[in-house]
Amino acid sequence: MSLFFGLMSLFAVCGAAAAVAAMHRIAVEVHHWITDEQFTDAYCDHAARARSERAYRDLNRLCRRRHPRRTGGDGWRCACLTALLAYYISRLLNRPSKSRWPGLIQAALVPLSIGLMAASALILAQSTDRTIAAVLLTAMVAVIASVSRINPLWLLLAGGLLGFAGIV
Amino acid sequence: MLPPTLIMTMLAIIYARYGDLDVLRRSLAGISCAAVGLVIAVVVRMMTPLLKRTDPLALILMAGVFLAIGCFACRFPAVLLVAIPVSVGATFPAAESSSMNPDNPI
Repeated sequence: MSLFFGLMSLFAVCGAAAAVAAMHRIAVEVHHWITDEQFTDAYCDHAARARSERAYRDLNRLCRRRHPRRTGGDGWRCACLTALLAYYISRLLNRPSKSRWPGLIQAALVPLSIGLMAASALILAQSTDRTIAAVLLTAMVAVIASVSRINPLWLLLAGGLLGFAGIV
Repeated sequence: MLPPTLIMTMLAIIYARYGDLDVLRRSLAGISCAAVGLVIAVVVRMMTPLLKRTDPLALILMAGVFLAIGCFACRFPAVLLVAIPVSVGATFPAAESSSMNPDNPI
């Protein structure tokens, strides 16, 4: 588990949101550390804060709490190693220089990040959108958030109220 | 920073204690749908410049990663270990040509 989350933090291009699909596959489908429902709850709880990195961290904690025996004592070392590597790569890319490589690598990562995020959206939608009303709500929120600058918290609140009323 | 953290910690405690209540489950289901919609909106916003640029290679790479991870459930590190070198390799000639023609940036 430590190795998985260490690798995930290293490979999470464009932040943890891009790695949601992979996290879901490993944590829910392959190892059954948590259920589909718990995964979605963990992600959506943090969507309110718009900090998917925290979702990643808390998902890690949730998995560890449920399966303490699978986390070896070397977990922190693995996390530190990948964090250090990611930090130095980030410093290298942001270092002011005349080299074109940092910009080139960042430009090359853009389509991959979007593809990863789209995959994450698909995986999450498969978990949540199980009724026509849920699909419609997701589509409406997607359209409204795409074309307007409304605060996402209002949309989450509206979703919560619709769920509370039993419409979704 | 502190108030949102406290609010979310309180919500987490409520979820841990009363997560099985039907009312809370229904509300979370609604929030989940909205959260997924927000993720889709972010994808759409990020994708728009790429579509306007009509760079076929970038679109193919994007679709390839999406299909590999989202539809075929391929291993995440394996996909990136293939996709990143391919994308960098494909971007390099485009960058070279754009440096020769400043009117057409990457």
